[in-house]
Amino acid sequence: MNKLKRKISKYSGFEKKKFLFVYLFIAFPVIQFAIFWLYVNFSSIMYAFQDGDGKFTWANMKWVFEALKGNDNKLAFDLFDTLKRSFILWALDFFLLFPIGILTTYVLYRRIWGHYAFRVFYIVPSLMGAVMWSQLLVYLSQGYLQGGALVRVLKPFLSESAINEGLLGTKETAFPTIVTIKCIMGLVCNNAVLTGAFSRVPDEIYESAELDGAGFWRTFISIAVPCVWSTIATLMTFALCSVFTADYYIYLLTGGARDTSTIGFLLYQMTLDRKASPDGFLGEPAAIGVFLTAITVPVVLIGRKLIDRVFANVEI
Amino acid sequence: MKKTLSTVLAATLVLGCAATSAGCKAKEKIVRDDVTINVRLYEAGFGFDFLYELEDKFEALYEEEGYKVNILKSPSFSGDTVIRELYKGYDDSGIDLYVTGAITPNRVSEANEYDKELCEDLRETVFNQPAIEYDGTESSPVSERVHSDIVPYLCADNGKMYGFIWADTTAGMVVNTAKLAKCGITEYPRTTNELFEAFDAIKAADNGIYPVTYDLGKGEGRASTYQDCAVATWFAQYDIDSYNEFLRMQEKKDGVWTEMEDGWKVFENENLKDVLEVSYQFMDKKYALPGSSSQVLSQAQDAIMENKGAVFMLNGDWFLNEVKYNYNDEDFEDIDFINVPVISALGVKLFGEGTAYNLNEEACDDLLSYLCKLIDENKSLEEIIALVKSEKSMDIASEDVEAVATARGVCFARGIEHLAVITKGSEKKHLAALFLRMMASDSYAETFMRTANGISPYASSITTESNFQFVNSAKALTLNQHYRAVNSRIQGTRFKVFSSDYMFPAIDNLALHLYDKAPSTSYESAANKLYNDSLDAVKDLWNDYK
Repeated sequence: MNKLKRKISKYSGFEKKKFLFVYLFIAFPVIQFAIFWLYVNFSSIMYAFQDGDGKFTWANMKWVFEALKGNDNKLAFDLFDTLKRSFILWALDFFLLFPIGILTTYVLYRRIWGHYAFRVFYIVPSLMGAVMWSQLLVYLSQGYLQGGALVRVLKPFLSESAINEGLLGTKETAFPTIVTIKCIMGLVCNNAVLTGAFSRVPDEIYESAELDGAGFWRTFISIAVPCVWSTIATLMTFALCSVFTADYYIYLLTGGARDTSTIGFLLYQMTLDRKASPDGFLGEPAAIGVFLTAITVPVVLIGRKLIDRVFANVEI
Repeated sequence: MKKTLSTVLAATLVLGCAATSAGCKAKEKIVRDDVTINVRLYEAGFGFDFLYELEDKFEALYEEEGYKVNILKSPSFSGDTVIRELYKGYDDSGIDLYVTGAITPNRVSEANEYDKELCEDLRETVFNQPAIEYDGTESSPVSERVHSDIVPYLCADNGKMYGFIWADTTAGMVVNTAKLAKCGITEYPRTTNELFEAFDAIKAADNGIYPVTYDLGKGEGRASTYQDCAVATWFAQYDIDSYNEFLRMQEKKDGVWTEMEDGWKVFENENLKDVLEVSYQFMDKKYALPGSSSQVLSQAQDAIMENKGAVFMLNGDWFLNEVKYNYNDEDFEDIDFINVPVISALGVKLFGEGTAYNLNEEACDDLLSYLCKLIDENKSLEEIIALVKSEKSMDIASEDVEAVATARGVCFARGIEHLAVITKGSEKKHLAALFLRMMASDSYAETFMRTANGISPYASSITTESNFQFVNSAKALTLNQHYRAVNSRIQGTRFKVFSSDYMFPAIDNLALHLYDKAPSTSYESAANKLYNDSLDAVKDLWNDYK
């Protein structure tokens, strides 16, 4: 303490103020990190290995493995199927929607004919609140008698049960409808970030490529993508981490019913159910979280390494 | 030019600020004096008029003392918000009384997540005191005015009485009588067999009207649990004590709920099979308005009100208040409210083969329906026995009539979810207690019915005939001498065993489960499967718990 005081006394008044300012400035995010990340994650991990009385136990982890085998009486949704659906939605996002998103953002950025109007149509859905969107989709996908517009349009292609009960009201169409909604919503989600990245690439580079005879695809693959690869890599890393995160639209559209629950929704539902009980024991959802983290961490680390290897860092 | 521009800019700024301020919610005005009670009211489908009238009457009665009421309206007020505000304490909130629909007594006792008692015990200050009429006369004690079945729901496990019930709402069936008549049905079904006969007749009429509709879709919150009320009511009709044991996984010993050695045995109840069988049949898609699985509450309610749509819907006596702004008063002439029909299997159990009566299934249901009719007319057990003797030439045992009366009297009470509480440490708790005692009066019952179409749990008689048959029918249910209140609030050991408030293991929405899995043929085999699966699961859960 005295050592620190002696160190500080060496500085002038102005420097001391600067010193204090910098430390206070840094203190805020550090405290926030400590409370909302460190404490929350640490306590979640601890919950996974505690029983209701706070004593160490493996029971919660054992329960996760039993639940994965289908030997569970507490969950309203099959854990393995739920994991499977989460993975399907994530793979769709990562391998299909994300590349399409990069391409369409590039097309918009290069200003094809009518791009202004297209841009408005493209961005508007992302400006509308998720709850509003979900309400709209719920009503659009309702049954024929309820006036569901989508069911009326798609009637020739739908089964009687889907026509009667609506696209989200029957098992055969509920999850495919969720997948379709995810596709529509997912296309626009990285548009703003990628547009920003593309706009930082100097036009001269594209002009030079064009002079060399590069066509649209060659310019896109060999020039545009490598130039914004650091942004794409960051977005892909985030996407890798998001495989088991909360899926709000499941809650808003179906509540997990008719085989649509995902792991993010299931964890939310479990926590809500547990919070309703007097003891609010969260050991089992925490154990699922720890189990999924154990899967995600190596995937993200290896994935990040592979992503970094695709293109060398491009200086522009 | 510069001046004009400045004037335009200044005017725009002022107007902009004024418009923004007008859109902002004014800061709540808590009155911090010795004579004003600050009351926070949750809307709960009853509006606010009833409380304003009560405020006027209270202030008029205590004019000399200068007591005042300051009502703060909260249209959306979740349970967590109330609890957080209560936890912050009286000094912070300044609210003396919460008239809410979002909390339970245990949540405000020291057994909550904060380990802190948040509300005042009302047993001595309100419950054991006389109700105060608008003219100041004191009538019978509040404790004698509220039904004894309600009392446990006002108390926490620590025995303290934190809650004061302020509305007696009942879940049951809404019926469109005009559509029922169009299908050639002139009487309301009183047993489940009669209900399914009515369903079949409506279907056979083939006039675009469907027997029943539900609100199982997302869009206005979690899919409805109104259907669960029917399942709970059917189970409770057999035996209320067994039903409560089922909900708690506990047994009552000397009036105290106690943990059982084999708690899973509460699921080993043959009556449950009958209940599930009837539930599957009730939720069979063949009877439901197509799209019931994805429509929201307001759409289901509209399906009852409109010309086609459906005849029956499981909802509650709040139906009228929820839809009245979209319809004219005359549109409600054909809307009525009935209790959930009595499960026909009870008739077979009481009067069927092997009993002293030895009746066949059809005769059992006829007798059950006849008894229900007499019970609906509020006849006493003695009167019923005499009428059965004279009209049916039959001697019927008193205990059998009582069993039917209990079953018919069972109503799914949602009023217990509408509690008023006094904030712990309120400086004006004695005034808030006076206000609640006035709320327990017959004068208030009249106000509540007239202004909110609601039923006061303290009404000693029908003080006002409502213009709506729907309201009068709902009130007749709760004023019937055989009325018994049940609810499906999960309590006791069950929470620890299930880790959720599900009625059956691993089924988070029973109505959706029944609707999606209802077979079109053998309801019995589906019911047996769910029963056996549940029993096995509960045994495992119990073993894990132990």
